[in-house]
Amino acid sequence: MLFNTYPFLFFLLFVVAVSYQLSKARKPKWLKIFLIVSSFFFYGYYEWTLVPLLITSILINFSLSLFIKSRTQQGKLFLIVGISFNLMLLGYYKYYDFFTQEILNATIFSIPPKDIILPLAISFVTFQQLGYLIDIYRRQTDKAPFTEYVLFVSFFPQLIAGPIVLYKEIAAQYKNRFDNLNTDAIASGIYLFSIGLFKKVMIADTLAVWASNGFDNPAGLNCLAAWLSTLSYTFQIYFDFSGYMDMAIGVAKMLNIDLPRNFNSPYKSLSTRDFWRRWHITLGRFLKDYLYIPLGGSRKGLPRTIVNGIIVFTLGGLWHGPAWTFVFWGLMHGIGLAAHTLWSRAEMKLPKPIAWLITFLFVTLTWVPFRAEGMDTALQIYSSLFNLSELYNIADFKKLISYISSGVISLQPSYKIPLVLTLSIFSIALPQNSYSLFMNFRPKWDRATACVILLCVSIIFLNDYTEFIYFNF
Amino acid sequence: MLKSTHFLSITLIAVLSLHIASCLVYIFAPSLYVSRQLFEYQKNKIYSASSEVETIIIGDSSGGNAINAIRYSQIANEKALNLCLTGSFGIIGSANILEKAVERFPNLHTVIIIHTLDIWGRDITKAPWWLDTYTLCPSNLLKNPLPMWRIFVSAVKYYFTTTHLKNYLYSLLSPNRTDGISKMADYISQGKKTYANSEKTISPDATLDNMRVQQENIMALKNIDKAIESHDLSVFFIHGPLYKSLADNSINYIDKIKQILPAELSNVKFISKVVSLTKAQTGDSVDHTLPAYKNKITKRYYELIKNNRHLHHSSDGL
Repeated sequence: MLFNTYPFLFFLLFVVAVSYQLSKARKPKWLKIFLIVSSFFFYGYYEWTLVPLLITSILINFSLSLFIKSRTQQGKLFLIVGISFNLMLLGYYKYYDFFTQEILNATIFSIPPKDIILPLAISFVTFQQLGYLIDIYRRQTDKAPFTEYVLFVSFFPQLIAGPIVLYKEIAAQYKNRFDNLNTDAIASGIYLFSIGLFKKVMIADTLAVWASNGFDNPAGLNCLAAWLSTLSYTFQIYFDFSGYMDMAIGVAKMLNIDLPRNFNSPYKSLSTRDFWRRWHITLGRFLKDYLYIPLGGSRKGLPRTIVNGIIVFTLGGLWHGPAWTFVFWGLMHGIGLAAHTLWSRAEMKLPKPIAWLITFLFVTLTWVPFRAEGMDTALQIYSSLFNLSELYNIADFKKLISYISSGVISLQPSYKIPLVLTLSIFSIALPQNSYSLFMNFRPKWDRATACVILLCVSIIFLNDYTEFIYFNF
Repeated sequence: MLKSTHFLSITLIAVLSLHIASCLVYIFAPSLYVSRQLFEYQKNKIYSASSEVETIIIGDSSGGNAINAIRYSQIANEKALNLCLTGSFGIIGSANILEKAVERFPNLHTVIIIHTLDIWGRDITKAPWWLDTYTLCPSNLLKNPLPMWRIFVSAVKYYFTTTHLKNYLYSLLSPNRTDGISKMADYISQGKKTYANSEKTISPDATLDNMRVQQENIMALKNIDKAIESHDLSVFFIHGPLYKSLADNSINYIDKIKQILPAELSNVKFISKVVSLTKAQTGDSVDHTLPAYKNKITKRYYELIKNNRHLHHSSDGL
């Protein structure tokens, strides 16, 4: 079920209404069971044949967690079994074809592809469960009761595309919050949800037209069109993913659960390190705690710090999808981080506007391989982006005009896309982001008016819904 | 400061009002949709034509753009009317028009049903223009292939969708955007971007072979087949014309239809031949004949009908 569809809105209305009644009746256990059933329905609505896989994964991980005792040989053994199981599951469903076709078949092998369908949410579910097993071994969390564990993994607001939640940060809420569902929480949740829905429906999906136009036809792009497409994608992915996060956090809040923050105005970053503290925060945290630090982090000297950073980001890129383009994207960020580390060690500083511009351009350029269908496309787009001589060519300018008008789908007024792109660029300068607005929420008239406008405008355009980009990862 | 319950009430009432407003727009602005204008246009044609009509052409836009009724009347030497709707009305829309025509024209002896090839794969609940036709004239011909609950859900989804409001807002922003009915073409005007002028293109690999046939659409045609049993009519079902490369790439799908339809029909004569359109003959859609070639394609359809007149029941024809 997609957040930006009518079935989800009806589902949400029903779930919140029933949960509110169960909470009022002081039946938190029943409420947890109800939320688990609702979460499986939410997952199965998209593709019910995948539900058994999710259940099996939950059952096996929960069983393994029972045998893990902190810092013992037996605990270590079961932890290794658990990590292997999860990585094999992810490896089989997500990377089998990539590994056989792109790596083994490049040598002496000739293995046919299996065309395995990627189960929805598997990347996020796997990371959450891995985090849980490792935290138990590290004695950083208590073992979860079965119902709470199932809810922790399957909780529908975060199930499909995060944020990546750790049991240790949510356990207390599952214990104490369900007998206290209240209208204040529901109101603030709806407020954030309306902002997220607007970001997705009105901004991300509008920019998608130009982004797709360019990335799907890279051969016909001149310099300006390539920049327009790349900038459109830069803002599309931000508003798509952060819109999804606002909706996820808003929906969870309606059920009185606070999910961790996942975005903090990433395009205001002044360095690549700063960017990763603001973009997909829970993924960065997971990679740091469960990969970078175990690899040695920054404790083993400068060369090792740089190598560790590059390994972590390359694997982080691969986590997004089985393609060289994602690996390349991760590698670029790893190198960017290494450059920043060297720069910082040399104690050199840039004026803030320059630092911002360099970071923003770097991030924008790295989105090219992330969005491109293949490395060929990415290279074509890069070539157009830097072919500045075309800027002075009148014929190419005509091509640009034709490109812009071809991007305007028949039902869209012609000014909509450029207007949205311009507003998106200026939105970087806004002093408060959606999460800050949500944290400072009070049910006032101005907030109610804003919520109604955002919700109504989004619903009017809801029928042209599209999937969220991060569903693919 | 508001109470949070008031905040929630305001939000819910606003969202509910939005849907009611959209429904009202649908009811009170019928000219918003050219398909609805067309339905009125074809109805008026039925009631204003002389009762001498002997042949009618019903179906969707593939038929509306392919057959020139005046030309057909000249070649066949019989009074013909083109009463095609659009694909969004589905086969139920054709049944509705057929019913009205049967009541109105006592001399009617030939009915040609032309639907585009992909009509069988369309989900009729997602294109519910047929709700209009259903509620206007329910009868045996219009016996609905869907259970009541699906009709209800479909109706609620359709009438209350905010798309009507969105389209209304867009129509205010660009009042001349939608094409209307052209009296000269006797149908909806085609767009300026066509396959013939290369402003529209189709992938050379495009195919309909992956399309799944929806049983409800077959049921709708079976209802017509059953209803005409008691009438002395020759009813033909023919595919609409299609862009040649797409037709060539869709052999499996065409074969599938050829297997299914004859087994389901007893009275409707099924002609499986697909009239293919060259690039120069294709208008603003892969199944729309360019107006300049309408007479030529009309003649081809006339010959197909003539060659298959001997069929006494459903067959794969020539």
